[in-house]
Amino acid sequence: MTMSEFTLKRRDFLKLVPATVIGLSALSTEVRAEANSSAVPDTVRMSALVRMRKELEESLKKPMNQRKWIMVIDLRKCVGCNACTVSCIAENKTPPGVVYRPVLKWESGEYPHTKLNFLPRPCFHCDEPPCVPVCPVNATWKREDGIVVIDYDKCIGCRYCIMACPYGARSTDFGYEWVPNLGSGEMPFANTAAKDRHDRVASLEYQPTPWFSGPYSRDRTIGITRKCHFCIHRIESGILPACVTTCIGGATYFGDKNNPNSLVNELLRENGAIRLKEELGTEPSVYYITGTGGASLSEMESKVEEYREKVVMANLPIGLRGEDVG
Amino acid sequence: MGKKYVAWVVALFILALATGYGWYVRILYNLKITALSQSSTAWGMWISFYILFVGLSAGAFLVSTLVYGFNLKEFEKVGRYALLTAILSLLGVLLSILPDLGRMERFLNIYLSPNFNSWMAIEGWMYLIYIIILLLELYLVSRRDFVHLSNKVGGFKASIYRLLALGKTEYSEAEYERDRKAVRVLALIGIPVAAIGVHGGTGAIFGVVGWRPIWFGAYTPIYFVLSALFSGAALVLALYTATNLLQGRSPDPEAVDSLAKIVVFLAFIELFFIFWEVVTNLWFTAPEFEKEVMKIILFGPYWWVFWIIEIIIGFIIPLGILMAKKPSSNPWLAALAGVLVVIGITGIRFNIVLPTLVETPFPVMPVEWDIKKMPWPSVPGYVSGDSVWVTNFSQGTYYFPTIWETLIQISVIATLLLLYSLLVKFLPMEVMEHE
Repeated sequence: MTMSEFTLKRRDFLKLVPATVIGLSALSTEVRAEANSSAVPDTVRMSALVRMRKELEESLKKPMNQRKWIMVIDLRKCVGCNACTVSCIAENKTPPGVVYRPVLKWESGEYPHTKLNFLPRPCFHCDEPPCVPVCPVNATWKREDGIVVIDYDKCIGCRYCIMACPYGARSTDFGYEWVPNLGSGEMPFANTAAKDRHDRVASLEYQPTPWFSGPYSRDRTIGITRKCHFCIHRIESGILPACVTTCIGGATYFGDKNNPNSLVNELLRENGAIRLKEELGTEPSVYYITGTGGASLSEMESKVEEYREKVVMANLPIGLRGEDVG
Repeated sequence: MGKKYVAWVVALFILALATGYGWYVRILYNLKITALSQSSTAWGMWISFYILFVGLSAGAFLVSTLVYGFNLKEFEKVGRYALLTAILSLLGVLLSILPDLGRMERFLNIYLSPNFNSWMAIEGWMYLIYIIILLLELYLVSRRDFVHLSNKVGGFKASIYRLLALGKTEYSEAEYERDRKAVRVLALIGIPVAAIGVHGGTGAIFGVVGWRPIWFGAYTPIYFVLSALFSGAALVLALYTATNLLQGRSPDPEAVDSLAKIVVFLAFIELFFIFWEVVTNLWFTAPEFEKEVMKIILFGPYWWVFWIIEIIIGFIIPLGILMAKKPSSNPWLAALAGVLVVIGITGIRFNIVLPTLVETPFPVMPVEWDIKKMPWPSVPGYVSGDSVWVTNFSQGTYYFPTIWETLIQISVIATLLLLYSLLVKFLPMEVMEHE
């Protein structure tokens, strides 16, 4: 290519520019117009929960091996209220010692620059779950939709999977109970005021289901390993997991990774997300949004704090910022 | 049958029965009665004894292969003791792992729907093959004596021997040669089954868990097999010597000295292994995690397991005993040295299982495990709400076995000793002279 050719081309190119600009702006108006018309799904303007539920229903129409459930937890929004923990206990009626979704809390920094860190920890439903191959009796496996499940009627309670899980997501049901006949659907304190509807509904954890066969019994889960299953019974009926619907900060998102337009995918595209202990190669299905795309747990601490200072504090009235205003 | 023997057997029987109450409580209340339910460790005393017994069995078996596989004459007198020890230790394996399973009634699932990706399943199957080899071997080496005894003794005993001899009254030299060859083949097949399948396999259960410090790596199965040889040889030394002394016979000095020599030799290799394990973990350059676990072993709440049980009881005292004088000059002391080594190895087994479990997956773990405020022993009660929601703990809680776990373990050991005491009286343990 000679120099003259190049300049010519360059000149031609420059001629084109105004046209392109006009074209682009026209396109963007079109997009905006489309967004306002009814042709675009309502989900754009919907609240996150409604949108996620619509997407859930859509994904359920696909065969099981074409959906892949993931969870995204926005740590910037987590306030450590434990609503997810409590709702999970209520939903699955887990006994003392078995908590599927605790919120890990720890302090960091030195006085006066200390802060509390929150980390909700469900089961990560890894793509390469270390807990599955170690099970000697094939009692746990990864379903086609990405959920790692346990067959309560097959598990021998050797607890090898607990040893293998690097996230501590599995725990043994030692047989403790909050109330007599936990999860049976019987009224535990029939003569007292505790007459919540919740107490009258039997838990699916202790009941026969399409994926867990066997008769109802509290004893069914005693002595075996239990863990979070993304509220499999709710998902299958088109409802979001309990921890997602109850999160007061809207920090927990749930959806189908194979749906490119899903809210979770949108969040992952727009935010830097991390997964825990990535170096172990477990490929977890739970992502944490830390603010600026941190790489490790310790980095995450500072990133979240940075975000709080920049965004949250800046929006608070000066008197509430806890700073010296002088 | 002396008075002392009867008293010993009765005492063992009463002990096994009394401590067997632990089994009743275990079956009634499941794992609630263990300290596991109140700490962050999910494996405890029973698993430690499980790997101890696997090791004792594999070690004792390998001693027996010196006789039946490699024809070393100096060990000939020990051969059947070693086989019996190996078989009873395997029973100990089963009795120690069973209470630890949350659903012990389902343990057959390991054979009904095995997952051969899991070393636990592989080990379970190897266990089955191994126990068949051991029983066959012991039967074949004692067959001639069964025939002989069924002709010699009278009464009830004779009928049992006749049953064991399968009605045979004659046992020709040709049959003896054939059995010897079969035993030799079994012993040689048994070596990979015991060393790789059963015991190396048990090591692999721990060695493949990628994120657990101290466990992960090729070192673990090798270390397991080495400790197995060491503890098995020591146990055979102790049992062979003590059994003969208690029955008023003097143990074969050549066998005692050769066994003691093996034990001393293996003790030094074992010490060498332990030394480098400590060094590599303390000087580990990468994650803090490994160092922390080694510090827990050396200076943590279980420091006494390492320094007192492992080093002093397991190495220094027995090595002193066995190296100071010719062991056969005082066989009682040799037997004591063997027992001390087994106690030391028990410490090693605890230190493999427990300390790494004290470190939890995250620097903080949730409170749901912290139900320590339960009334103790925590049998049927309910947990009150506020005891569970207290605080996070920065590290896992330290496990210490409850009275029930200990009772069951004592009953297992007492049962094994009882069976051993009865069987050595009944089975032809000594090589008989056949004209």
